[in-house]
Amino acid sequence: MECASFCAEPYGGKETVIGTITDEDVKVTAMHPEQRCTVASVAGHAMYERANPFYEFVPGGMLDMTDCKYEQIDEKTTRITGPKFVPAQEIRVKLEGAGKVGERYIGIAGIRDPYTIQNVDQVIQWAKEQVKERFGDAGYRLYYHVFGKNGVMGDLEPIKEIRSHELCVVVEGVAPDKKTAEEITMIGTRQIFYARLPEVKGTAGSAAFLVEEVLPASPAYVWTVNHTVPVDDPMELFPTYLTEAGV
Amino acid sequence: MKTVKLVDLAKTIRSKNAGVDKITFDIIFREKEDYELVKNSGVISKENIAKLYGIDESRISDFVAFDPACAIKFTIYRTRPSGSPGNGDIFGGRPKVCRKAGGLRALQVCGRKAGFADRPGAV
Repeated sequence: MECASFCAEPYGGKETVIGTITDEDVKVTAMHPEQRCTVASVAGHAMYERANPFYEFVPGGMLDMTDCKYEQIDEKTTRITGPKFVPAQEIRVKLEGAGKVGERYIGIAGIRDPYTIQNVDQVIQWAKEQVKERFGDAGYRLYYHVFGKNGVMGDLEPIKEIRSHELCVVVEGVAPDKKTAEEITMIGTRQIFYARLPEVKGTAGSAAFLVEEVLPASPAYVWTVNHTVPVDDPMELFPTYLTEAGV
Repeated sequence: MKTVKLVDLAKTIRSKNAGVDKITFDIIFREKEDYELVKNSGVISKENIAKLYGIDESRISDFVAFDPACAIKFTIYRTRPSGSPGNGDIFGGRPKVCRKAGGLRALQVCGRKAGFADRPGAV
């Protein structure tokens, strides 16, 4: 079973579950002595990591689970009936792919100065400007993740006013080659230290650095293909071979 | 009006990737009556979810009440695919919501972060 006992309760994660498929129904049975497949746990899993629990698209059609019925038929087994298979006009196979965007470096800056924290957006804007002066507008990417503000949720973060006494700024610089990526990230990080805002009392030092350098990270990739392709033969993209293994 | 936190009613509140460009949210209740209460209150709606996250309703791709699981589920589009440079949450496991009757209140509800590979239907 996909995801093993995620469809059972109590939560385990790696215990065996047996699925039995017949023309009439699907039965899901937990094998672990302490686990059960219940209506709630099995139906709950129908939602897991999917946009919608009712429709599952596969090559050649769609499984419509809108009218599925879930029943507890013994202590450890839930039975599901009622899915409808809706054949598609043509067979389509899902394709996924990613492409390299560039080399990546990471800079880490800590901020404790209350004024800098309050004006962190302007500080970051200043740092970006410094990179722009040197490298222009295009040909690289520079991202700021401000932990303590919205580093995790980004634009979805509902809390707009922060009361953090410390912020951690992770600077992510991406460019076609390592040297440029390093330089961009270095300037983008360092300039947090030197940001000139009207009321900054010090000369330099509104940020603290964990390391003096910026750190090489894994290259950056982005999803480039998330499509389906029509095929005449469902197996044409999946050649199979028979071979004999030596014993 | 009595105010109840969603975390006190729900058994599971989770968010996960659903494919490369969506994050899906599941709010699962242990008791059918709690589920019905929240479902019928209309507090968790497309409109309120959009308001809570400050997004346009068109960014919500799916919104369903799923009776067999006693669950409310909604899915939003990411602004860029998971794992892209600049993306702060590769697994989509962090944005959670909390409900208060009479208005949505944003809270980070503690949830398990599964460390699974970044692909649909992982494990």
